[in-house]
Amino acid sequence: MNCLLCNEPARTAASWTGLFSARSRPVVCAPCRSGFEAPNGQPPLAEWKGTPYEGALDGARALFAYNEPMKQFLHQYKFLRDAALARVFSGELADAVSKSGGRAVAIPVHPDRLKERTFPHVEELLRQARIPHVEMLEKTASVTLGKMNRQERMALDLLFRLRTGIQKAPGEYVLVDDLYTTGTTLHHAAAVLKQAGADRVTAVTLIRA
Amino acid sequence: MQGRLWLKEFLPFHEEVVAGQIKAGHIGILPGLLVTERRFLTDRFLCNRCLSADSRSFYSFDCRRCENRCHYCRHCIRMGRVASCDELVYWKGPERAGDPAPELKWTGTLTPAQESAAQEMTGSLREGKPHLLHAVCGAGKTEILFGPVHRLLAEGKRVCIATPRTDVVLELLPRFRQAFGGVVIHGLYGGSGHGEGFAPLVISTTHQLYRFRHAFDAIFVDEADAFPFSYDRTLGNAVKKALKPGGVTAFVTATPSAAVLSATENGGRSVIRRRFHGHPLPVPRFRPLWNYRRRLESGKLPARLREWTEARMAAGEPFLIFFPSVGLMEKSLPLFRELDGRIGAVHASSADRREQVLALRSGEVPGLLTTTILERGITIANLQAAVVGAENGVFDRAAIIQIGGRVGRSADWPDGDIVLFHHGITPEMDEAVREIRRLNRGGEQPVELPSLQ
Repeated sequence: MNCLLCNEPARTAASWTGLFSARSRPVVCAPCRSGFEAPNGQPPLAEWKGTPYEGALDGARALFAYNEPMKQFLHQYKFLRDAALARVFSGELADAVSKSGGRAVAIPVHPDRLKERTFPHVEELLRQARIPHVEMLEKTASVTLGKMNRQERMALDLLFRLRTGIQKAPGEYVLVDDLYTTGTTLHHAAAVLKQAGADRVTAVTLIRA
Repeated sequence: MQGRLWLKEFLPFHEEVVAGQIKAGHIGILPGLLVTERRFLTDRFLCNRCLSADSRSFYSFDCRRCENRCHYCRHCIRMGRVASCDELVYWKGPERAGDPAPELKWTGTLTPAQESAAQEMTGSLREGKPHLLHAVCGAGKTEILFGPVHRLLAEGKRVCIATPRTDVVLELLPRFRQAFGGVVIHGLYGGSGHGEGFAPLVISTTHQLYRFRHAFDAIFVDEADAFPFSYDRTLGNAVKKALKPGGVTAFVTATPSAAVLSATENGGRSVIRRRFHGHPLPVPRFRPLWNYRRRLESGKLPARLREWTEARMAAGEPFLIFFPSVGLMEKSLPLFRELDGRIGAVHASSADRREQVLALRSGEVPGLLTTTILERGITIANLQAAVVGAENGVFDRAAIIQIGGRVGRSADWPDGDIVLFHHGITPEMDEAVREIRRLNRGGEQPVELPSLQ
């Protein structure tokens, strides 16, 4: 098949799994793939020391750096709404979530935003990677963190609450999101789960901005 | 918005205004995708914007807007997504009244050959027939277009000049703005924006034609055979869609392909074999460069290539060296930088392509390494060119003729060196040289040979 990013024919090595299952075949060509790099360090959770959210997250891991190819990828996936791209990082995401341990929870999108975007971009990553996940959270307000500075972000009221009908959140969870910038989203989500009784909450993000 | 095809979601007007105009019957609506065939497992689709019908371009997902299984076209996604539940809108209200005739400010003179080509072209277009202008590189094709374009605009017609590359749009735009007074000219390419207001003359990349529908009375397709035009059939359809019913197309090229020849079979044709300065085209010479790939990859600059480059720098002549792939070019760049640290490399995704070419033109850099991206539309005085790996498939007959066409374009330096370093001579290389010699003799009618690949 052709590469999902550059549309050139992607030549891939023949393999037994590839012969029997289209899922395990890569969807991007080697040159495009090589543009994505490991992040420059992992999310600094220590920055949250001394805030009410200290300790909400028990660990966080980001898979890729926010370099130029990754910016283009996210632009095409999230803003041009090219849902087909949800499969590009399925392998890496599935590995990271299973290593982290716990039930996967996608960071939800506000219903108004969902209508505009037409698909839930984080949940779609999990669905395409065939990662079992549970819907625990919903967004309280439709705010755009992108336009706020660090202080404003840290002072926000809780961005999430438990979904209606869910009272408790026992056990271990892995939160999944696209970007780790300051960590506000993930800390808020983790705090909600911890308040509802979660033992351990970790996070996996595709990108460390 | 006359002639344009917009995604309704992104129309730059208020929703109420749009609703009012739809009610008044001034705005027509098309579904984003058309289902062309119902099938057992997968339906077949047609994108109403780019007219792609390739089943591989369509992807389906659970849409949270229409609460349905929705499809969208990936072929033109970079212009904003067109999904099944999207609507495309176009203006069908009253046509805009004729603009005042523009003033032709260009004061140069045409050579007799250019003059007769311009008149033949105007003639064909007025009769509503397609026209092919087959002119060698450096014949002054842009100047030939001024007359016919001006004539059409003066008659109140809407005209588009479509070219495959952004670089060419950027090169043509200032020349047309200078040549024509009193007319709005839009230059459209990826990332250019939509242009303000209504423009009787649009200079556009062929891709941007997707955004038009029944818009133009005439479209001039420049470099008609170039990638991606010859490559991508949907682009040919896009030209048809952007034309008004009964509109005409003129093709302009130095290397007409079989497809272009058949499209103009019933139309007019002008051939110009001489450059505007009257000197013959430089004939490429062949130089073997055995195992160049292995030597470059192991970090050695082959002696012949080094000598050629050093000779150019010693003489102060700007040069371009063409490579068959970005990978090989990037491996070679450090080797050339040992000769001169200012030598740069340009490929399709270089953000500073324009600056690099300007630096070469102004003499700030002695030369550039490049891929076939710079094979067309570049004019630099006294330029010398070399091709590394001319036997490679990307350097077909048309590409070699175009690369040779970069050399000796100015009247002050009508000659120059074009050398093909190769690991074996291909029929395409022979054919390119034969065609150039034939044009230089000027006698025989150039005979079209389909690409040998």
